[in-house]
Order: sequence, then C-alpha cells, then structure tokens
Amino acid sequence: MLEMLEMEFMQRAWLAGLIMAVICPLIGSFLVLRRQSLIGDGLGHIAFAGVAGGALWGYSPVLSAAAATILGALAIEKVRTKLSDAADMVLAIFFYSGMGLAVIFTGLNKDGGFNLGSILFGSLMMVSSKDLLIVAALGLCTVLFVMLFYRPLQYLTFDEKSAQVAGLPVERLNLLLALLTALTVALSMRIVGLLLVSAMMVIPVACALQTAGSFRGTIMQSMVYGLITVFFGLTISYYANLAPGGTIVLTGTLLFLLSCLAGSKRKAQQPVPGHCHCHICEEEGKQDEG
Amino acid sequence: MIMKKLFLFLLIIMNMVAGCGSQQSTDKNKLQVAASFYPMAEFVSAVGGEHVQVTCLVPDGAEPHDWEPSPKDLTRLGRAQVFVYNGMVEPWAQQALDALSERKIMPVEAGHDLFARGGKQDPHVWVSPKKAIIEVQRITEALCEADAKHTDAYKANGRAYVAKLEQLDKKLSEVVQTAPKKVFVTAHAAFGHLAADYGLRQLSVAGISAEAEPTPGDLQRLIATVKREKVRYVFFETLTDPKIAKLVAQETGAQTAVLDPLEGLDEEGRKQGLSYLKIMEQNITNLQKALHE
Repeated sequence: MLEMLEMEFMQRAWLAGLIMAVICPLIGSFLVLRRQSLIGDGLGHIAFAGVAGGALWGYSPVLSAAAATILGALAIEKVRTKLSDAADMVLAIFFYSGMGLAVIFTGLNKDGGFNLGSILFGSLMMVSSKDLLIVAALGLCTVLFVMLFYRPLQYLTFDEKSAQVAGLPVERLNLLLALLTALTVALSMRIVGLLLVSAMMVIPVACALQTAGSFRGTIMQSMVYGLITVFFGLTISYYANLAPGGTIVLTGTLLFLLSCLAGSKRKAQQPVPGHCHCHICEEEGKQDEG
Repeated sequence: MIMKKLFLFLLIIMNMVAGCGSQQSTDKNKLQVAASFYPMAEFVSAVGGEHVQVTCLVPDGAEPHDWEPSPKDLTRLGRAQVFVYNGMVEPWAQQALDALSERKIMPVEAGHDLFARGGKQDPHVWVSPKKAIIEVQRITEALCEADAKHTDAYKANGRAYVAKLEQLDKKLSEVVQTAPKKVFVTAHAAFGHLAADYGLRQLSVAGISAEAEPTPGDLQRLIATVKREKVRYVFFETLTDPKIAKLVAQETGAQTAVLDPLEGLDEEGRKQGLSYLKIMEQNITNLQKALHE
C-alpha cells in the first residue's frame, strides 16, 4: 500500500480532509455569493479563543472551538440583520475580540497542553477517531440541509429582501446557515489550521465561478475543486513535510489561476445563454439589454 | 469537458505518487524497534544485535531537544513493535503513541524514574555510565519480553554491553578519585547526573535546556568562579554553538575542549567510526586533563 496511507492516523486525516473538501465549498458557495467571504476568517479567530480557552479549562479543542464559533456566528448574524449599514465594522470588532481573548487565554495557560503551530497551520496527526465521526456527521447534516432547502437558499442568496417579501423563513434559514458555517470552521480547523480555514470556503468557489455557467454548476464544481485542492495539498504536505494548511491553500491558489485561464477561454468560445440564473449571467444579460 | 480533463490529470498524478511511494525495506524476520535518538538507538542495536532492526527517529546531527516528528516519522514509528525512548527529551512521545493507538507498539521509557537530581528533573541520564547501565538493562528486559524467541541472545548481548559500561564506570571513578580538582565547567548543563553520580561539581554557562541564554550577571559569576577555582578547561559540546564557552575561556585564560553530551552523532562522527563507548572514552580522557592539570 501507499506509504502515505499505511498508518491509521493518515487514513483518518485523509477522510477528514476529503469530507472537509466537500462541505467547505458547499457552505462557501452561499457565503461568497452573499459577499460574506471573510466570515469564515472571523469565525476562525473566534475558534482560536475557543481552543485556547478549552486548553486552559481542560475541554477538547474541537468541542470548545465549536461552542465558541456557534456563539460568535449567532451574534454576528444578529448584528448583521440589525445594523446592516455598519455590519463590516461590527464584524471586525468580533474578530479582534476573539483574537484578544485567545491571546489572554494562551498567556494564562502555563502548562501548555496544546501545540500552537498545529492549531494555527493545521496538522495531520491530530485527527482522532472521535473527531472523524463528528466531521462525518457534520458533513451529512450540511449536505442534507443544502439539498432540502436548495430553492429557498438560492432565493435568499441572490435577493434577501424579496425572499422575505415572498414569505420565506429568511431569519431561520440565515441562522441555520450561520450555525453550519460555525461548525464547519470549528471542525476543518484540525486539518488546515484556523488561520487558513476560510480559504477552503472561498478559493474553490472562486475557481468554480470562473468555469461554471449556473448556480448549481458553481456549487457542484466548487466541490470538485475542493477535492482536487485537498488531494494535492495533503499529498504535498506529507511528502515535503510542510504544514497542510499552507500546501492546501497554495494548491487552491494555483488552481484558481488555472481556472481563470480556462474560464476566459470558455467565455470567448461560447457566450453564456441569457436564461441562466447566476449573477454573472444576469449582469451580462443586463449589459446586453442596455 | 474541463472536469474530465482535470480528472484524467488527477489519475495520472495518483499513479505517479503511487510509483514513488517506495517503502523502506523492513525485514519481517527481525524485531522492529524504533529509538528516539542516538544513544537509545545505540543501546538497542548493542542488545538486539542481528535479531532487531533499529530505526532512529531523530536524524544525524539534529538537536533532539528541538526535534518534533513529522507524519512521515510517525509512519516509521508506526511500523515498529517496540519504541525505546529516554523520557523528558521527547515531550512528543505520548502524543505520537496516541496518534498510533491502533498499532500495538510497546513503549519503553528507558530513563523512567532516574531523572530526579537535587530537587530538579534532568533528562541527561545517558551520559552517566551508572545510569546508562540501568537503561541498557531495561532495554534488555523489554526486548526479551517483545521477542521471547531470542531471549538468550539478548541477555548475552546485554551482559556484554553492560560489562563495557562498567569499564567506563570504573575508569571514570578512578579519574575522579585521584583528581586534585573536583569541578568542571560546561557550556550546557548536560552532565549533572554524571557529576552527581561520581562526586563532581558541574558549573555551566547555560541551564539544563540548551537554548537558554545566560544573563551578563550569570557570566560574570561564572568567570569569577573559574578564576577562583583555577579551572584550566572550559568544555563545549558538538551540536550547539561554542561562542559562550569560548568567551569564558578567553576571559579567564582557560583552554576549551569538547565534552560531548551524546545527544546525537553527526555524519562526520559516523564516518570516523565513533560510537557511544568511544565518545565516552574521549569524554573521560578530556575530563581527566581538566581535573588533573
């Protein structure tokens, strides 16, 4: 067998990584198109506070990170709807408060008990069987959520106001989406590290936006891009002995450049039909009309 | 179309990776033992002889206090049936064994319970022949337990190696007993157990951890002591920077010499055919110079 997959800890890391490669872009597709690309980043900072606090009071890092990000995501969502004008400012304050708490908890922690490098940049050695089960359960929940609420979520993503007017449970859907984002951040942190966790929510989606022709296509392709990114990222990480966060993100960046090339070629060859629902096509359609 | 091309590309790469993932050959007939760093590997191969295959995790020339295993190193560790480590030098050992919990690896902490010295915990037990003997005896017991077929060979090899360590022990005791001076100066306090076991006093520039930088006050006091006690040699070690030992030597007119804490063997040393026993001989010769002049 492949040396990389010989040991169980690497098999767990691969399974967790591949599940993450699917659910991060799935959630990320909605976030990117709603211009909330940076929310994962902010939640990562808040997760850091959770991990540091968990290490201080002796809770498992995955659980304490999940608790912190869920609280953070719910608070951010409340603020986003109440103060939509100053939303980005308030968001920034949340991020910095999370980071500040993390710094204080880390400073208070005299016994160590957690490896800062592996939390910030990811590690392939830390995924326990329990972590893997939690990641798999979360993956299933996320996929089910998107499949069940695909139509309303799509409506919500492109026009939140009319979705509300049309009588959709916008508030509840928003909360669910925020909750899943928070959980995804807390669980992907193990592999890519929390400084880079939101990259998996953004970069594969950015790639898919270059090559896909519809919203559904964007979601599907972003998951494929996510899988490719994680596949190469983990392989390079193992054989070159580099932190997986870095190799995964840079693989994603490279893939984005390639997808830009592929996308511009494709657009030049065949103009996108106007009846498609994605915002790119809608904008292009408007320009055509004008 | 693009997706199909990407998948094809992926398949090709996958094949390439599978091709170059060549495995290090493991001999199925031998007991597989992983050792954390050089002295442990040396002890295991001395006791195991032809019946064990030893993998040393910390590479040649690396400072074991700063080293941490990569996933690749964990894979090497996962192939072993026995894992021999000193204890304290390897804070990562427990985490590594946890990550490999599915593997039935027998952990052997050779320095277990030997670390306490004057109210402090000091990991450098292997540089004292008296404590190295205990470590070798424990390794012998562990190998006998892991591989009952070759018990006789392990016991005989263990006895032979312990006899060599006892010679070192005798020689060092004689050197100390006949010495007019009972104090020596080192760069990093790696010889505390040796000093305590043989009735010597170790003065050191840095603390027990190799990285701690001395304050100017510490240096001043050390230089004053070196002058007062008329110490003629300041020892430095091979793997760390000798800058401070050289500074102390310059200030006091003493000479510098090597006292190797045996934390690793660099490639040069391996080429010259050095080993734990040979380096300890050199250490004792150098100590003799310092204590008798």
